[in-house]
Amino acid sequence: MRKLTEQELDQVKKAIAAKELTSAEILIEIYDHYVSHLESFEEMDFEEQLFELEGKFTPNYCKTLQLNFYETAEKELNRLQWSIWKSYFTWPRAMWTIFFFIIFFYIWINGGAFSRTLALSFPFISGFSLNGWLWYKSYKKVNEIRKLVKSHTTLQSSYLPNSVTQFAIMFGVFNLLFNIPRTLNLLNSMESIFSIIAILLIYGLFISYMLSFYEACKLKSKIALI
Amino acid sequence: MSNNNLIKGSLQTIILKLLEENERMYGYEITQRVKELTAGEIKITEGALYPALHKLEAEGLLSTDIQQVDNRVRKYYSLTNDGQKEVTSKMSELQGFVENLQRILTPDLKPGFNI
Repeated sequence: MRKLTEQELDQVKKAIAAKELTSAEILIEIYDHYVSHLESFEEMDFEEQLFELEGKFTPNYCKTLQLNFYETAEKELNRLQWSIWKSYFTWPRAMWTIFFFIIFFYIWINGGAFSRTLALSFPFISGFSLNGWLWYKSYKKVNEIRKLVKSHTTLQSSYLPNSVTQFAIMFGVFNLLFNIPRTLNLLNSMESIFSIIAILLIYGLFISYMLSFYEACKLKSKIALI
Repeated sequence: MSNNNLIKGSLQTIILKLLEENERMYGYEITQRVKELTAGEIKITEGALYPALHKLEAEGLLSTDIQQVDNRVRKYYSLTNDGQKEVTSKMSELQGFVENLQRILTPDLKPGFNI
């Protein structure tokens, strides 16, 4: 086992960068495979071994691997999020869920327009802030890899596209709770008990979905590039 | 030895078994370990290895860990609790299959032999 020279490492980086990968997880795995393999051969065999690796890791193969990994990452994060979400409704965490539900119900019934707006806006502001924080943290991690491999493509963690879905859901719920009733002039009918229950239900689902997503990301960030 | 088609069906079991014995491994290490254990008779291709690893990860049988090694980042795989349980069932499934295959190939062999 030997260490590759700077010149050899540059050659490997160029070969990897030419594949134009966007998934940071796939890129580091392939780069490590290349270097580990080449380190086990003598300097004189470098070119031949690199050529052999290029034959195995064709751009087509790498792109397929990447595409499948994006799906894998999505499934994995969804599975983790789902298990966290379910825990909100089982003992002992369900106590917190009930507590927040009562607080929100109290504000909605007894509070004025300002309190209601504040209660509704807070999770959205938190959601946007958490999403921004997630992107920033992931950017910092991935940027180091981008510099290391000298990649010119938009490199990102395969887990990050999931947060775009969060944005879409956030906008959807925001429209449903704020804009649609205002546009359709339904603000008065929102005072009925059915509307309150419906709002609480949508709102509760949204908050629990959002919290479980960030909790899943936090857990995953310890072992992934988010 | 061209045995890629024979390996395909048991690749996941091989990976799980190796990880049970080695706690954590990275992709290239797995290919080398298999090569070493079989004296080069079985070579796991990269084309099959990484999709299999990612599939096992997606199924929650493997967990990953990213670590800095010699100025580069390495992704290690290890078994999850579900993965630990799966090794036993996959191993007995494969052993049963090999046993049955052996019966077909050598009908004179008495049933219930151990591999």
